[in-house]
Amino acid sequence: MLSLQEIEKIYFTEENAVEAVTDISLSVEDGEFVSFIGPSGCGKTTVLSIIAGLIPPTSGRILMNGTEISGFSKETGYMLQEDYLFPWLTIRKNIELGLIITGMHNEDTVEKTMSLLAQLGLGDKADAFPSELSGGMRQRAALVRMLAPEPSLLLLDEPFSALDYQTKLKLEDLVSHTLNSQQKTAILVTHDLSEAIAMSDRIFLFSTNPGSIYNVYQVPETFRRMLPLEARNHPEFHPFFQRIWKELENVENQHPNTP
Amino acid sequence: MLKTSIQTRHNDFLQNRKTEKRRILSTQLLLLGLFFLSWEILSRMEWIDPLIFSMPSRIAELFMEKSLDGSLLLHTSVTLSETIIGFLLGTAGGTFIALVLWWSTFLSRVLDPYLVVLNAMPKVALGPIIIVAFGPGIPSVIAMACLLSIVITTLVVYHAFQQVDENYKKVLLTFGATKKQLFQYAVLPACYPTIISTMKVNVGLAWVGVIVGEFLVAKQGLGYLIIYGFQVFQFRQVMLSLIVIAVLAAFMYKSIEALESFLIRRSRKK
Repeated sequence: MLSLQEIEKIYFTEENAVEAVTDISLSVEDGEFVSFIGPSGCGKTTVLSIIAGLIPPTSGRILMNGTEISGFSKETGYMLQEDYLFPWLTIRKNIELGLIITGMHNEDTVEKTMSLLAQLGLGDKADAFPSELSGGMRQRAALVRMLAPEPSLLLLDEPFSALDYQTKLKLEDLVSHTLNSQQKTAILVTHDLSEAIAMSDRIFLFSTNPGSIYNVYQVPETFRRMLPLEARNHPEFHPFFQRIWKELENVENQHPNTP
Repeated sequence: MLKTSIQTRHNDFLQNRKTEKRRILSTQLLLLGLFFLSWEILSRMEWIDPLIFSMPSRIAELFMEKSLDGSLLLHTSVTLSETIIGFLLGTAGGTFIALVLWWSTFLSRVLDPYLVVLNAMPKVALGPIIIVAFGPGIPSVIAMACLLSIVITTLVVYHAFQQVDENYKKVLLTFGATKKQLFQYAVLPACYPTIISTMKVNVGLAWVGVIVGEFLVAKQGLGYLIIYGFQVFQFRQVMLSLIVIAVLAAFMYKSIEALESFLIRRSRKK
């Protein structure tokens, strides 16, 4: 279980000090899938980076299964907006990089990872270079790279936003299915409300200036366990979407300065 | 039916390209031949001073003579090894300093103005100091060649290190990479193309450094042959050395190009 306690982050520049996020306290259960949504500048990516250990919080604590973590933890995996596979390495080498850096590179883990690659339909692409793959395939390879060192908490930073609509829907299903079957905990940052609803168990709505949690929504039991594509077609999906949409608009209208 | 017509068109296309290539090559050879021929004729007719400009046939004679007594080989190998060592030291040293600067932001900020001054300064002006420091001999020549390329290599490669997409580093940082791993797996490989292209520039700079160095101190080498030939009014020897230098420099440049296309083919294999 992950819990954040009163996380605060202040950025300092020559002109001023900006409070990016303040008083973020939340907890995520094992195996739960939660999303952060909110207007741009609400600090949702900042919180994700803090959990990943990429930037230190100004104050506050992060606990993972009861113990405080600071900086990088082997338990977390991070997926970026774009794949950022290294163009000078083959898919196989790219994926093995995560294992090498975490010091987990051995025959066993490589074999496991390669079989995951095959499961995601890229078995025949292992020796191809990233430039030879489509955007969806590359993001799938990036997913395998993240999963290779077997993290238990996955941090997804708008991983579908650079894909075309059809690829995005397919990849949502694939990610959802893969994470469910491996019992991973995940936090998704997205600006796409319907994606958040279709994929998550719980949704945190952030407000801006400074970034803080505005509201938390439990996704209705009726379609929570469905794959994203099925969930989107569920009759209760749209009423729920409308409800959060209104609140999202409220949040944005509170601060007319932010677009 | 359609397929065969595409096939013939493709053959035509290939045939055209071949003819084009052959025309370019033959024109190039023709130009070279014309150059030497007119040089020979003009010099024999004394339209240009044969004492100063010599003529290809006499240079060829000298080439045979100096090849047979082994002196050309000696001078050429001295110059060539000086150039290669200076070039390697300049490129590797510059890349290494760039690594140090990348490693320590503090150091890079401290050294920034010094690098700017060193880069703007005509390094050849340091010649006398180098000779005093390294002694009148081969080490001075190598130091000159190295000095000429090391500063610009440092600046260009360091700039490339800084320009590496933050997200590649972020990928590694999410796996808990150390600074050494960031450099080894993301920054350095991302900068190979830049390093190779500075190598191309450095080949030229190393030649400049070596020849100037030999002008100043050497008792051996092609630069020495040039300056000696000039002093005793042996312009045949000057011309011969120039031709040898042109051939060798072009050859080195082409080797770097071959290395480049080999590395690129390996990393972007289709």
